[in-house]
Amino acid sequence: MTPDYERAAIAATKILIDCGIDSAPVSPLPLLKRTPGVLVVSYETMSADVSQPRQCVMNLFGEKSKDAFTSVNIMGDRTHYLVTYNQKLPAFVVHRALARELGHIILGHDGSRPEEIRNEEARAFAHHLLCPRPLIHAIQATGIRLTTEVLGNLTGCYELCLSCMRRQPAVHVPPEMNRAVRDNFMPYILNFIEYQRYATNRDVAALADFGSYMEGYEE
Amino acid sequence: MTIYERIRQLRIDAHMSQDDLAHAMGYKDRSMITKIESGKVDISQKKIIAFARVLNTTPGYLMGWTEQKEEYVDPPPDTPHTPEARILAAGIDKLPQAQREQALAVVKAMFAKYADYFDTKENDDNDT
Repeated sequence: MTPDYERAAIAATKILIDCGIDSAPVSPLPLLKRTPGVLVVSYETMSADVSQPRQCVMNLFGEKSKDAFTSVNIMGDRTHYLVTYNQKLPAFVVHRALARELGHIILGHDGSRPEEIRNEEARAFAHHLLCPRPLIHAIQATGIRLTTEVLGNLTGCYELCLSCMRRQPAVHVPPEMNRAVRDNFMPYILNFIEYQRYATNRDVAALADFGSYMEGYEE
Repeated sequence: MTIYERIRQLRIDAHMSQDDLAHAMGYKDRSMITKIESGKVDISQKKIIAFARVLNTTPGYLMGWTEQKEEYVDPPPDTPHTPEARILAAGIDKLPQAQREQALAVVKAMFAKYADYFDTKENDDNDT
């Protein structure tokens, strides 16, 4: 059994279109909250609700659940999802974790496939959601060099996320879907190009100033 | 109701004696069923599935995760034989048993606490 990367990519692209996503970084939290049958809570909320210390609750669900995890409760024809996440992590880590959990839900993962396959598909979904290929391709087409910094500004994802993206095979998403995503993002793309040209000229000087400031900083 | 009480109740509802259930489960005699129904022995995950099959319900009902007595359906061939795997998609079925039971209790409490939220959201989703 191999991961179905294409299905994951198409599902993520469909979410971008259906939800009218037109700016980046894409935030999965509101997308999760509007998904039927889904409740999203932080570890803090869960800790308060079950009257257990936060660290005890986190440790309970194992090492793999330190960033987020999803519980599924199937009752006849109804399926309820409880997504729990660690809000005390950097924002991009939380985004990535919640995007993966959204992937598990959208792709209907219920334990009927091996865990490794489920996780790989959820990762693929997350990358296509957070790093929309039509958006990145449109920026690339303007001549802006795709450095880690540019992609970080563009998607809120950083090197680890992008290296996962490179590892995945190319997939075919129907061109009309890609066009719909690109059209939604077009005003954002135009603004981003303008910002990036401005930022490139200003960032070097700003970083030099910041470095000087920190050298004089004492605890 | 505990898993032991549910097994006993389902057996009675099915007009089965302890001997009948022991035979269907492949035990030598009814002594094991007596111990299970009185909560004196723990039941492994494989046995929970076997009980669910014999008593024609779901592992979820036996575990108390749902109050609906659905009929037993054989899982697809690739389904791991752990009922939690169908309940939790986080690989929690690989945790040590004591920890898993605690984790399941927490999740169950959360689903119970927010039952109204899910019902309301479902109604809202149906309205829109």
